[in-house]
Amino acid sequence: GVAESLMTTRTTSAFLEKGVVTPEEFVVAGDYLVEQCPTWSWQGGDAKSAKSYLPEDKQFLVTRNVPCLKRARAMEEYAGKEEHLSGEDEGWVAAGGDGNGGSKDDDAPDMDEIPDISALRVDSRAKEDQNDDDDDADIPDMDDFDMCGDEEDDASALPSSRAVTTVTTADDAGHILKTRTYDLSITYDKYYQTPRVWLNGYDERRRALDPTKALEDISAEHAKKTVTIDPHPHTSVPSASIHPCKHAPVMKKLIESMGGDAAPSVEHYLFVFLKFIASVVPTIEYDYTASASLR
Amino acid sequence: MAADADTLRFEPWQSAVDPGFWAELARRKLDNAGLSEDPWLITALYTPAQNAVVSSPCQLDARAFGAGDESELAARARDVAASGRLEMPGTLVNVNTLERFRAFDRGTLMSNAAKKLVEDIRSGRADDDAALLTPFIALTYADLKKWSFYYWFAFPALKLDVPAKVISCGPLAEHVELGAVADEISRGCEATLRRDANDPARTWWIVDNVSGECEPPSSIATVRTRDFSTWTLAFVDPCASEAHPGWALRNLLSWLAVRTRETETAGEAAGETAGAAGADAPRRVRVLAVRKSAGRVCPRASRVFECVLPVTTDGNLENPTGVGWEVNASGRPGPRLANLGSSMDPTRLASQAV
Repeated sequence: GVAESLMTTRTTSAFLEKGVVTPEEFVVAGDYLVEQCPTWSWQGGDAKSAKSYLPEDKQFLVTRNVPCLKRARAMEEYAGKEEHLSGEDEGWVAAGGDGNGGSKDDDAPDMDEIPDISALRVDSRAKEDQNDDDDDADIPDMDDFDMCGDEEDDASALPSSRAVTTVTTADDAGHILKTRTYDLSITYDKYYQTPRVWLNGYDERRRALDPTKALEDISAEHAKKTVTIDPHPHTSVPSASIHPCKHAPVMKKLIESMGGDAAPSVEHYLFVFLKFIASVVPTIEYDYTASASLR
Repeated sequence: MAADADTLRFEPWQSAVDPGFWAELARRKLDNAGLSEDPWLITALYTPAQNAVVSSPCQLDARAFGAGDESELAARARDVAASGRLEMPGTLVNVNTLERFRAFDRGTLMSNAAKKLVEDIRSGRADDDAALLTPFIALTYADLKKWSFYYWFAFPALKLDVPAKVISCGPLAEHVELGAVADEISRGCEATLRRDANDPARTWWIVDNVSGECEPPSSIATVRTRDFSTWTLAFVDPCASEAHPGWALRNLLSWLAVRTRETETAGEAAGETAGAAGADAPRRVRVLAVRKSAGRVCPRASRVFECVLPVTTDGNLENPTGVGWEVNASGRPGPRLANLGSSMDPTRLASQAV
């Protein structure tokens, strides 16, 4: 926005003191992420949307077609009131916990800037869907459309029902999962001086999800408070985004909690960040598993 | 046609269309195309399967339309290479009314696509440009008043006289012969997939059965002059299924069947396959479906299919049958509807501005 265009870019490193990064540090951390987790890659995107403070071929990070087997809401019902991820430090907040990542810092930017998500649900149908397990409600299946073709006479094609994931477990025999997929991207937010995550989802038949549907895959606490729907800065596609206003204080806490004598180097920043984001989107199974070299 | 137990069955592509694609289609229709229904050439992208849960779809976004100056095209190619994606060439037919969409002669669209596949294979064009073997069609109607987009994709595949068969399948790591060199093969495939923007993507290559060495760029000449039992056909497989390869393999096997059959008919490599019962005899081929896990080619995720090539006749190729219309959410062949009214319509977006 306007504020961003008037700001100067951070040039001094402060990730240990404030949890923020410079654009250069974002690139260093991104390079390391891509090297360690090649499901992520750098993208330059459209030159018209390029930020001058980032290399033209390293504008944002993306990982595509990430599975999301169940809704965060369903997982939260299952997990009950579990407060923290097992085996982790206090700062890691799991579903059902304190959605602000345990951070009550006074220096966190004002929440007033975040638009009320309910204002974005424009038609009544979308509202009904919030309490409706049928993901298809606002997109007709076109069953009644009179041009549906006959099944093709083709012995070599796998029937389409097989294309939907079926997982059989001991306690849940043959349950068909509505496996969504997400394209996740990470941009650099100049105002908050932190990375910012964007979600573009697809339903189990790979139809683009309305961005409000992504809220179902965000832990309840965050879905109400810290998720907005904005045009993606490089594609302009309306996308659910985890608002970065609390990122810096959360990152500061997480980095401190890992610190001691051996504070993590800045190239690990995005691993810590993605681990934090995993508590916001607990069922989206993106890769951030370079833990061996994290400390 | 009833499926025999050993018929090799391919998992169809799934289209995954980014809302930016529709916004760009709308923009181009308003700015340039007007009422023209002439086909547009567009490009979709795919990757090898990235995990065991979901197959990689055929993805389209705003950049699928491809036009632009040289620097834009170069920037797009750089992003495609950086994310390890491969291109699929497509034809988009955008019609002007819902009635035209309903009544469109899809049969001719598909049969033309099948004829083009045969031409691309017989002429040798597909030898050097294997992307021609993964074509797609998009039939669309854009209702710009409601900001709704009707669409129906097809992924044309040749239906030959006798379909390909599967003898066995299993993970590369456990394969009786290739398992011994599985890590070598995975590294070679990884190196083959990694490329820069100036390096054309490869959808298939040859792996030596004994050394496990990948031989890119492999050519049809290599395939013709070497005994089928000495090499494995590796291909980039978007499918995550344990028991089935993705649709991308289907035309590749047809290509192999036709191109090696023509060789035999011409007598060029007759000696290589001595003992085969004539030109149209079914031939075995070993296929490696190259798949990834945690972003790298994985010997456990990648699978080996022992196959029998499909069999074709000249008559079949003179009047080819194409199949591959995508099913919709009901699981039957049918169109889909992307209703972006609440998220993409510029006027509604303006009224929501906070």
